[in-house]
Amino acid sequence: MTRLRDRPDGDTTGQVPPNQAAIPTGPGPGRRSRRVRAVGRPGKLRRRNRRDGRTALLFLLPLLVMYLVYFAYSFYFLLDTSFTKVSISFSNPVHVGWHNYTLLLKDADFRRAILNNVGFAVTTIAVSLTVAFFIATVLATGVRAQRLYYVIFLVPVLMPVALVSSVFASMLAYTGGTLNQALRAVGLTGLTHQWLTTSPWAIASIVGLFAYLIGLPIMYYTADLTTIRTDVIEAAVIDGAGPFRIMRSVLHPMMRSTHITVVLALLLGSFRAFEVVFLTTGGGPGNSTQIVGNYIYGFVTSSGSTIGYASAASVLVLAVALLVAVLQTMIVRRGER
Amino acid sequence: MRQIRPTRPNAVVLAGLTSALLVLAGCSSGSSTGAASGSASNEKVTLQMWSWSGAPGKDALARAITAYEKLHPNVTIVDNEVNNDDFKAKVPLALNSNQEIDVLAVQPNLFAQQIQGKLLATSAWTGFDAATLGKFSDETIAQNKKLFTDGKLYSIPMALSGSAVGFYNVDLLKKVGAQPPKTWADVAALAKLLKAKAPGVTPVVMPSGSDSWFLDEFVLTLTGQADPTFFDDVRYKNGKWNTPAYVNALKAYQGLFASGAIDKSTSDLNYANAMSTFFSGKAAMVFNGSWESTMLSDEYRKTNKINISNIGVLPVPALTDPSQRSLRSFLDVTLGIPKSAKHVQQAADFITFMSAGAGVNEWASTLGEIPAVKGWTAPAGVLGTPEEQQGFAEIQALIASPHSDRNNLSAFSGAAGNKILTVINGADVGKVAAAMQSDLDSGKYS
Repeated sequence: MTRLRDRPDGDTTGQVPPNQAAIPTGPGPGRRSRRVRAVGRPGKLRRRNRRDGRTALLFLLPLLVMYLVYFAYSFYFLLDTSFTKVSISFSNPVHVGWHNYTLLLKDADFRRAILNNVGFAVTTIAVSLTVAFFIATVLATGVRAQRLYYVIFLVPVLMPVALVSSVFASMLAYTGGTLNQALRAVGLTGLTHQWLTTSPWAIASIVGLFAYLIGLPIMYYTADLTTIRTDVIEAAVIDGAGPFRIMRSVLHPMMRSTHITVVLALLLGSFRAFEVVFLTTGGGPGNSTQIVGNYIYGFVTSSGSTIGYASAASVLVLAVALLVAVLQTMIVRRGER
Repeated sequence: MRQIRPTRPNAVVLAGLTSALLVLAGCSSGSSTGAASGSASNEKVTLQMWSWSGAPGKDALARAITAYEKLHPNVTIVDNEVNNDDFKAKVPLALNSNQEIDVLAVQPNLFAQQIQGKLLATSAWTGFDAATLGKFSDETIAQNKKLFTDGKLYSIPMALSGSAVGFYNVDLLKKVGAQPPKTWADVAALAKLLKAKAPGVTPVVMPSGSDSWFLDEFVLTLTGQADPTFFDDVRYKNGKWNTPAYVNALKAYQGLFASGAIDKSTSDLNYANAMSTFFSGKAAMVFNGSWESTMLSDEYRKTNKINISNIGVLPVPALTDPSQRSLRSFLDVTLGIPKSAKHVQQAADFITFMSAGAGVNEWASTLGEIPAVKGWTAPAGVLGTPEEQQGFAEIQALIASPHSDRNNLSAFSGAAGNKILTVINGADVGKVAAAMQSDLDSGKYS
């Protein structure tokens, strides 16, 4: 445990690095003196700020234009379409007011898809905050064949999700799937299941697939672990803490910012996990594994006048995702206070 | 240390230039599709054709285009094949922006209505011989008219398809001494026979699992055999979905697993896996759509390394009375001319060639699409064995006399299929049918 990597700059003393000490972090004398100078020439500063602002605006203009065209207009278009009954041709749209939203909120399948999304995300987060953190910490101690383990855990994340999902679907097939074949080979035929087409196992399979893709959290934790000061670990060791105690009471709390990144990334990422479901269970059986991406896809590729409905679903999903992000930020800020 | 900073005028000019370049780059992506050309018969003409993948497929279409170009050296046809999944989205956008499309493959579902306003009625096709329509059955023309809201024709039929239909491994059935089953009781008996004489071979496979939309097709076939008016009532007369006939079909389907006619272990096979299970000889029969009739061609089997020497065709077995065996069929590809077409006369002539002329033999010899023209038979040598010849004729006969239209309800099929998966696992069929009815009533699919 004490072999946790030293800081890249070689500092293991616990002293504040000289470059940090030079940065004024509060209302110190350096900051105050700058302010006094500025107050002494307010007109000149204002003119300079205005000129700088114009220059900055000119540099920002191209990106701003692109943002307005590709994001703001797209969102406006989506919102506008969500109040219509229209096909993919977008011709002859019929304004239907809030009808699409009312339909969606009444639709048990849509609610189920949202709940599934959140459920899959929460499970993945739980696995990441525990298993991924544990793996990253163990790997950071310099275990043998460390690079091999990194490859094993990171390669699934680097591969297209569609490929990983297809391989999983093939492994979980009842007749020729590797999992059932392995179970049969060791005499555990009773444990074989229809992993993808019976409700509880289909859900478990999707959760398992989500959890398998924990390479990204491992990467986040690994990156953060390289910045942990080893003197803290040494102090804990001197105080008699064992490896698990250090993980739980020292490292885990110190990685708060990484936990937040992991939670947000996984929560919002779960709304984009279309391939995971599409290529394994297709959302079934029933709607037990349906997520919003697949739900919307069905209506977008339909030949009926369902684009308004799909747009309304997209807007609601966006609202839910924003709500999640805002709640998350509020919780973090409260924690910081 | 002294910092090097750009002088303000330089910064302003740089930023301005960057903005201008980006804006210009963004605006310069469009290009003209070429000037309109006249329609004189010997003038060089390039026809832009848009089709979707598999209708009837790039190679098949290329053969037909080559044959047409040989007959008409002044005409060049550019085939713009669009992926099937993108077709519905791309075509309306192209039509709305008046992109030049001379010949358009029109999907025979709600899509046709969506682009109806952008299509020329066949009565306005310059040089089109209305007698061509007589080469199709009345039923086919009636189906084509149903695609549009005003009862007029805006496209003409090219190919038909039907579902569900069975394909069986002739040698395997001969080996165990079985005849192609006519009822599901026969299939259950076949399952027992296979268990005894060919262990490891399952009687039936079909696309399921993540491709459960096919289960909707299958149960609708069972329903239609008992109540031929069921689907057309739902589709065209706002009829109920959870009728006793549909509930009974669901119950019967559930019973097929209990009787051993269908092995529950096959319920997670997706489309590709179901087909490969059959092609590898591990299933005696596969149920799918008529579009899989390509497997009847020996050349297709050799190209795709399918080690089955003889394949036969059978209708979906009946629950009780074999005379009820039938399927749903409908148009699969129709051809139209958009109002934005530059060469209407040549387009009409090419469409006639493709749908009712010599072009049919060129694209239909791969057998995937069944020609809509009456009385077409596959060219000699395409179908090898007597079973394959009879099988293809059987498919044509089934498609010609369907119990109802296979004019699917689009996204609803996928949702219904997923619900049918729960029936395999023992769900209450009445509740499942009621849930489907509730889905339809909600209006979200229309």
